[in-house]
Amino acid sequence: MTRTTLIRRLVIFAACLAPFIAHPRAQHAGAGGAAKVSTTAAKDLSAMLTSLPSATAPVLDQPQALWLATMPLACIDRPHAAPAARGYLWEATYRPPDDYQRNLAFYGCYDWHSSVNSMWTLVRLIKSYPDLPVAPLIKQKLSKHLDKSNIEGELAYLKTAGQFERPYGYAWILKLTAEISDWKDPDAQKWAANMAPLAQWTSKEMAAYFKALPEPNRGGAHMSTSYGMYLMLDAIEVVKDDALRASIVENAMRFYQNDKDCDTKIEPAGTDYLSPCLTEAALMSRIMDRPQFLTWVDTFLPPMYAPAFKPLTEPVDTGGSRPDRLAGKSHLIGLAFQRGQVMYRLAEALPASDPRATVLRRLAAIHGVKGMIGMHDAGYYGTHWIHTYVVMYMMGQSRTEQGTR
Amino acid sequence: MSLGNTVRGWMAVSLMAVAVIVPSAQEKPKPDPQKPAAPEFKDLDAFMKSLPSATVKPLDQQAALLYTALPLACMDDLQARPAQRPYFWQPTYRTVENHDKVRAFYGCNDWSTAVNATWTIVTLLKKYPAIPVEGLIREKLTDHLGRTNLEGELGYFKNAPNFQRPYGHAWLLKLYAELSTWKDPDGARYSDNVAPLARFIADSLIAYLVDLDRPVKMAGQTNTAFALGFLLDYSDIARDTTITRAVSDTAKRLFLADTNCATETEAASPEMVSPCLAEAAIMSRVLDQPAFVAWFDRFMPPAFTPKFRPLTTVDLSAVGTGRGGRGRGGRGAGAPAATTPPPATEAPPPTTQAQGDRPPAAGERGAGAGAVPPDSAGAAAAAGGPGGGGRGGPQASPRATWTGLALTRADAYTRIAKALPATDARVAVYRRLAAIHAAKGIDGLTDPAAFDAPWLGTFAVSYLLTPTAGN
Repeated sequence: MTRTTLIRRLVIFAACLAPFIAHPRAQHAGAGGAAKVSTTAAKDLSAMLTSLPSATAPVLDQPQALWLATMPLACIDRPHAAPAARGYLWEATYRPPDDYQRNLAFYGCYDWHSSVNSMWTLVRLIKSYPDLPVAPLIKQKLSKHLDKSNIEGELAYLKTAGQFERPYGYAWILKLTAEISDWKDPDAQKWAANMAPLAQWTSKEMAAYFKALPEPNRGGAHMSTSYGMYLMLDAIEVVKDDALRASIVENAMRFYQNDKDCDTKIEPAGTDYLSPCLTEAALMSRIMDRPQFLTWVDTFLPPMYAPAFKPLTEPVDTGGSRPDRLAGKSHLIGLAFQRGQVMYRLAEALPASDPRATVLRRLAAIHGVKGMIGMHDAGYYGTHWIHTYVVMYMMGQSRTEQGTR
Repeated sequence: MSLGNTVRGWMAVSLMAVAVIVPSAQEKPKPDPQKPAAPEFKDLDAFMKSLPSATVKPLDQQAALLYTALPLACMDDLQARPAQRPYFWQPTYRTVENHDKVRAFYGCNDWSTAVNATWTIVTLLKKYPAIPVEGLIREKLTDHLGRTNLEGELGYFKNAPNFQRPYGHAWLLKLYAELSTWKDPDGARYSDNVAPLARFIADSLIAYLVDLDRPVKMAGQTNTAFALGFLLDYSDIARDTTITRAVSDTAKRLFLADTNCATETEAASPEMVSPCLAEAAIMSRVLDQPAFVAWFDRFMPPAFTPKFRPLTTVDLSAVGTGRGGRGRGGRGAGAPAATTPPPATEAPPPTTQAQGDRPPAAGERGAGAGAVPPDSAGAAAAAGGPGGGGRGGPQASPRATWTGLALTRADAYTRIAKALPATDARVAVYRRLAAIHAAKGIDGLTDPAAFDAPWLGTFAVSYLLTPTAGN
């Protein structure tokens, strides 16, 4: 580690966290590393809560909404990155597809799923803040991308594209469609009608996909099965979809109901943008009834004050600065918001009197504060998608706020 | 395999997986009618007594001849042209001009396999100078390891330093180690030709390792501990103390605090590397004996416990889906599966992966285009050969992947056993487990599936040459 990196990391940490939260490196720092982790762990939940720094979660308001909207607006017409590397044996020259502005919809924001979730951000923000000064601009962009011929082109491509963007990008199609369908606006109703065939096809494919999956993907990125299911449940809560819901419930039970002792201590891997353990728990909180979930989660997640849970209590250090690692770094920045989001969801699933709910909300706030500090550190690798995670985080925060008031 | 068998195999595997993962779940899984319930062992002795003996066929010239056949047959079989239809940027492909003059490792499905195929024939020729294919081996080496070929490689790497890092890099260095210690006029020439690329790669790897914040704990070729092991093979032979130090520092920094490895989650689906054993094997090589034993006691669950059971054997015919797997053991990594989930309804099977270091289309790396860094996750999805999900080449069959796992486990068990004190009761157990896995793996080599996976023979040779390998 260079001295500047070290100093920067220390500054970042001092700025947002109490000094007792160990630098992740400290865990590797020597033969005593393992022992050190356990001695800093709290005895119980209340000791843990006392030891956590206070933090004020970032909240969604109109100025924040304007700032967040600028990111998708800035990327939605910037085409996907062209393959940069030369081939080793097969060299290629590349050109965009003919007339893509009429035949495709999701060609901006670096990659396909980010383009879809960027549109979701725009729709979500304009619905919450119809008076946003950029509202007409947002509508103009949506109008251009979500026209009938564009969505027809997307469906035609997906039908030939095998595993492309399954399940993550597909989940975003469903979320975007649900958000648009639920919007009382004449333009939106037109876009919803354009999206409908794509969404119906996507839903059918995903129901079959989960059924055919022999084992879930338990990683911390796009292929994650639990996160795909989790996002699709968001959509189903808005637009009823019994067949997809049945597939998710049945297969989530098949994959996860016998899980126990989730390996929280190995989170996160270097390019994770979601927490596999927390996401699985948050998913199960939405498909089990409360008593069943409470029994299950007790054997699934380690106690929050235990050393094994510690990696989830600390926002990840994203200080690395090598230019060829920015994409992975953007994942770790977004991870703070994803963890926060599912922590809010888990807190909601616990009884109000459960002290774990308080701890989870505090941890979510700590993660949100850290995420905002690092938000722009990965440049376009981050700004083309993290805005969505900020919005989802803030929506979770606001639901919690209303629930506990 | 018939459909009926496939389905039965499937059910057996899923039941087995459940039994292994949740041995004490409240709802006991139904017992598998085809397999007796796994017995419980009260201690290591009882467990040892339960293990079958196994005989590993030693390496001799006759076996070596077979091991040279696959590399010789694949080195000039060009890596396939990428076949997928991308979403946005539409490619027109042509091969690099004069590829056979400006590239060295363009066969065997993918670059790392082409390199380790070359390693295999060099290593075997050194060990068996009178092998009947001597002339053929020298002919191939002369064609592929010429000066211009390696100059072209170096030129390529200077523009694509992440290409095949770290796994392929480790194999290139292993190849260089063998060439540079070969007392042979041809060998000296090849070694001189490869040296500048080896130096470039060694330097870039050191920078990579120093900056690596978190290990990849996937169960395939992107696994950090696994690649570090190959790097030490190189530095042991070439006496490259800078690499030895970098590997040792990296392993200690990344792994020293690890405890209680999640062995119970391994091998739920076909995968090529045991993350827990690979990590223990590299630590056995970078820690002194007392430090290793202390670490190992905290890290590895006792071999006789139910938690350890997935590591005790490999069933080569476990899954017949052709999908490969990353399984639970792979979940620690940021890399999306080289595996793709099954096609839904009538959707076509996963397309072959992109070739070269061109980033695969988004869906192929788990919808991860862009947001996935080229040096870890991208490489994983793009990973050819070991671990399945090759780009360009055929997808490794589950049988080939299990065979690979048997061989890599055998190697790890052998190294761990060697690092433990001779009086340690685990030594005999680990040696036995090594023999059981090696015998399985070497059996698997005769399967037709292995012919699409030339790296398997390399792993067998690599294992058989591990000090104290065998019976």
